[in-house]
Amino acid sequence: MSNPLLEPIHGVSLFDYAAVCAKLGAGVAENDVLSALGIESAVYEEASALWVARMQEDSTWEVTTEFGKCFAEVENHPKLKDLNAAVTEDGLENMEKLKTDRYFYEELCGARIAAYNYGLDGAQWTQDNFGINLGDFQIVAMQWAAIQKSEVDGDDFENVLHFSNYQQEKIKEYSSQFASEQGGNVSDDIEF
Amino acid sequence: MFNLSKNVEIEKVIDEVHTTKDRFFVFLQKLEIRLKEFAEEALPELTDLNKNDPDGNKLGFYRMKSSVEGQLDSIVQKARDVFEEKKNYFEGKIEHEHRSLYYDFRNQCLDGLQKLEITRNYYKNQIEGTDSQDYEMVYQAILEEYDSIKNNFNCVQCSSPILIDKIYFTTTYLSCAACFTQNTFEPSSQTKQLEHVGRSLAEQRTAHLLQEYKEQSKLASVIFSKKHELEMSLAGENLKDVIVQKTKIIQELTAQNEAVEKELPILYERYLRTLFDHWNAINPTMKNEHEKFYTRLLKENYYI
Amino acid sequence: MEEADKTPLSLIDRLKLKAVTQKSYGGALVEQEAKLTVRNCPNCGAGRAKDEGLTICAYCDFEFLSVRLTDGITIKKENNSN
Repeated sequence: MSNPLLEPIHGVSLFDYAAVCAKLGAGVAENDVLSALGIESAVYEEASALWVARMQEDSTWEVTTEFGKCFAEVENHPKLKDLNAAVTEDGLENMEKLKTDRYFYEELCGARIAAYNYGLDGAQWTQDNFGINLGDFQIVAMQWAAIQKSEVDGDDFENVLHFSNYQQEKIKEYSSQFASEQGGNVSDDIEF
Repeated sequence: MFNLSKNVEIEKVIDEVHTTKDRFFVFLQKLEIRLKEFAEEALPELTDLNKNDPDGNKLGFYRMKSSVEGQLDSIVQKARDVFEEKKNYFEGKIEHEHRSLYYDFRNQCLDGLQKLEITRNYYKNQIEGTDSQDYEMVYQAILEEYDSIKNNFNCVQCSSPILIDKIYFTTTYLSCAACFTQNTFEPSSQTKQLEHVGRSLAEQRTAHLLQEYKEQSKLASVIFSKKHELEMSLAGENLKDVIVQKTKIIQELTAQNEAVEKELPILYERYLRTLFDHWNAINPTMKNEHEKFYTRLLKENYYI
Repeated sequence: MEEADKTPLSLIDRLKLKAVTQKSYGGALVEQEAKLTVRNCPNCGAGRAKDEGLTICAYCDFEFLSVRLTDGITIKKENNSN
């Protein structure tokens, strides 16, 4: 490991730290996560504060970039991969779909954007309607982001545009749904 | 006959363009009035909720703010949708030789639309302004809490007093002086925020210094633009007197620019150093880490 | 005109109500007070003493922490058990 900023802190590697963040975001209890790593909260809280400080210190952005990669790789973490919060059967099915079906992923991204625009907690909305928690959603989002980046790098703008348009359509669709649920938009009575 | 019917046709289109444009501007005006009324009503409500949100993280406030902004956007979107529809309609309808009719329609409507967007942006800024947090108060609460609890703990093993000797913002081990047992001290949720509160408070306290730096920076670019403009104008200048006069002004501007540019790093360093001094004073246990961050920012010369 | 004034007002009230009454992801923030606890060895019941380090039980070798501590904020290398 050439970059000293990537050395573990109190034995907590960047992969451990990113995996803890992902698991906590996915609703796994902190005690369970820390026990699996063999540490206590005193150790974790120091490691966490110092990992953030390392990201701030790092002018190359390597720590932050690596953190993102590790976050998307949580399913391969040797100690934490099997720790999961209770997920419904529908949730599991939707989660599988989210990983494999780009259209479904873009739809939920669009829905979440629309939800926030209508004052809804998008993370809670996704949990309530699709049984997918925020942490799991973010992990899959990182994986799709890598694919999107490879499309941009490979000049595959047709695909980028195709999915971007699809997401825009979904934002409109969900916006109409949320608007009607709140009794309409502020200018509905003003017609051209 | 053919030309006559074509002329009648064109007259009809011209008429339709003007009517549509007039209607569009009336439509925009109604939307703008509604936007203003709605935003003006929302602002005091948001200010109130920012102060009195029952949620500790002000999530209720952020959701309401987001929905108010969403409504402002929905107004602009409504105007934009109509604009796109009419623009496409005339784009297909107006033939090549009367294209300026289409361009005028499009540009004038677009100007109107942009005016609505400016009003929307103005209110979005106002709405952003309702998101205020007095970090001085949050920090005071942490200090007061520390004072009130520092002597309240006893070793879980032998009951001897354990002094909380400083503000800890992460869970830590404190040893009992009597029985040497390692006790685990977990700070309150608000004290765990000390590092973040410290940075935000330091930023609040040094906002005036950042402003000074930004203004100087802006001044530098204004002087530079003036100088550049004059230099460009020299290229086509033939009158000797004018050339002499402009050259003199360029020299003056160059000198001014150099003086302002020289001040910039000094102002930036003063801002950054003061900010980090505040942050260090608030959370001294992270001083080493703060200093590494400071070194990076000073080297990269951008503000946090 | 009166109708136009009424529409945004009532909508704002609805937006506010929706904002404050809906469930937040992860539940409402629960403010925790500061507290002091000890962790005794779950294996032999002995307490953890400072001199013997934080990582291993001095009496039965139970591993409290399965990592090597480095120099952190208040926890230091010296806090590793020998």
